[in-house]
Amino acid sequence: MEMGKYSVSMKTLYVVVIVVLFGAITIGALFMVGDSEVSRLGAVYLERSQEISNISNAVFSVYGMYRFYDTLFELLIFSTAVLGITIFSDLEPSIDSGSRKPVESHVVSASASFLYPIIAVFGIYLAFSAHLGPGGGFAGGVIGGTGILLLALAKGAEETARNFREDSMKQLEYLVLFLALSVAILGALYPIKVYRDALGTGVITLVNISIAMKVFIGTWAILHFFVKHRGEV
Amino acid sequence: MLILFSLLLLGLSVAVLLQKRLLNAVILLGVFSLVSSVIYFWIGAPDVAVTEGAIGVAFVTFIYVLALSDQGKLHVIAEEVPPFLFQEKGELQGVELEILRGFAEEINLELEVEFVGHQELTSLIGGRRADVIAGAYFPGYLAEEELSNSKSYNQSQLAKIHRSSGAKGGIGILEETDLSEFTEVNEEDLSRFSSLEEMVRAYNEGRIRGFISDSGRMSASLYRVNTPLRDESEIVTLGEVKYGFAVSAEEENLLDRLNDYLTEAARSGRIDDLLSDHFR
Repeated sequence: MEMGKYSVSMKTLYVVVIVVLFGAITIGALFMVGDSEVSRLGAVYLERSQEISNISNAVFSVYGMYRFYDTLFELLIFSTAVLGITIFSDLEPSIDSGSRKPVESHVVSASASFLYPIIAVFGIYLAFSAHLGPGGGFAGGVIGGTGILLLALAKGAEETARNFREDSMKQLEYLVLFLALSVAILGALYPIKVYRDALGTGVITLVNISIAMKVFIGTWAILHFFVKHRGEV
Repeated sequence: MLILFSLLLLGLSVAVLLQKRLLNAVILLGVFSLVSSVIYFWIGAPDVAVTEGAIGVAFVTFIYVLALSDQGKLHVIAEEVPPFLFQEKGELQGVELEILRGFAEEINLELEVEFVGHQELTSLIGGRRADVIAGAYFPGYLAEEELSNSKSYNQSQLAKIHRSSGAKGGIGILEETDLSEFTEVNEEDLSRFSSLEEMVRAYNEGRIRGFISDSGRMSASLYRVNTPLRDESEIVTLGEVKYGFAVSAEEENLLDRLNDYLTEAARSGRIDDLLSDHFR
């Protein structure tokens, strides 16, 4: 009897937590718009943009001089994780999941084929508009990755792997990483030469997209490793 | 508001630690990420919030669930021996099922039973495939050093059925079974069989003069073969078998918990109830 009591109270607790959480998020989002503290800080950065980077593009001077680095270090951590997993994947025995079928649920597969394009577009949007709003290449890539996670859940990981041409993706991953890192490092060393004289500030969008691709492929690599060595999703 | 959310984070982290089921803990960890994502949003770092949301709520939770999907189960491999552990109309039944179900519940794992052939038992134990061997197992049934035997829940006899006069051929015994604990038998006199049914058939057809098996398995098999034994069969008791379970020798922790559970179940009389239900 006591067991039943316990589970009922836990359920109530969960419901209360969820309601409070979503209420707070909604209210919080309403009050967030035009937060005075944040916009005051933004104004300071805009005013000082010229002296921050020596480049007249204000968006770039904030993005390229500050936020871009946080994306880069996120990428660094993530690449280390992916590298570790690919190295360990050779040590672990793999499970033959060919005989196992993914969960056959029409709800999951129908919602997956409906939601995947939306998630993918949102991820791409975040990567493209990284210099203008919240998001960034890393977040865009991860969101694209969660989309592919949904596909793998619905259609099975092996089929998804075939559809995405995994082999050519792996080569693309290193090419894209090389491109992003070389632009970023050169840009950090010679910001004016790279961003004003040679490439133009627009290159930051390209770098963001390539980071998103790299993260997307990395997400898939981690996923596929776990599926391969732990059994079908 | 910020303080409220920070307190919520604190509460959630305590709740994660208190969870008994790992899956619940993982889901709460996802909620933890969601709350911290809200905090990031609140203090004016929306892009970090987006990243935390995608990584913490969706990706990491999924990876944990994948990793757990294999961990949260007690894999049992067994030979199908009624009334110990068997399948009827697609449903698992038997006295061992009740015992193992209780044990799995106690250690918070989901019970998964897979029926395999007699020879596959030893090759599958240990590693990821199987944790426990069941199905009228008794010490000596499998000659395998990598196994640890649990406490016994029931006793029975190891019996030899044979014809004393006018019979030729060896004594039938299952592959892998080690008789050294019970009786002295000349190894050359034994002929090994891969299943009990085959052995009974060989005996009835006169190819062997007798066979040795435990009585629990034997009565199940005779029922299945559904032919009477040859005339003039004699039954000799060779010793006592103690039905129990086996786990891989490396899994000392699992063995201890299983033994504790069996001791407790025997003390409370639950095992006696089960045995009288199933064996009548």
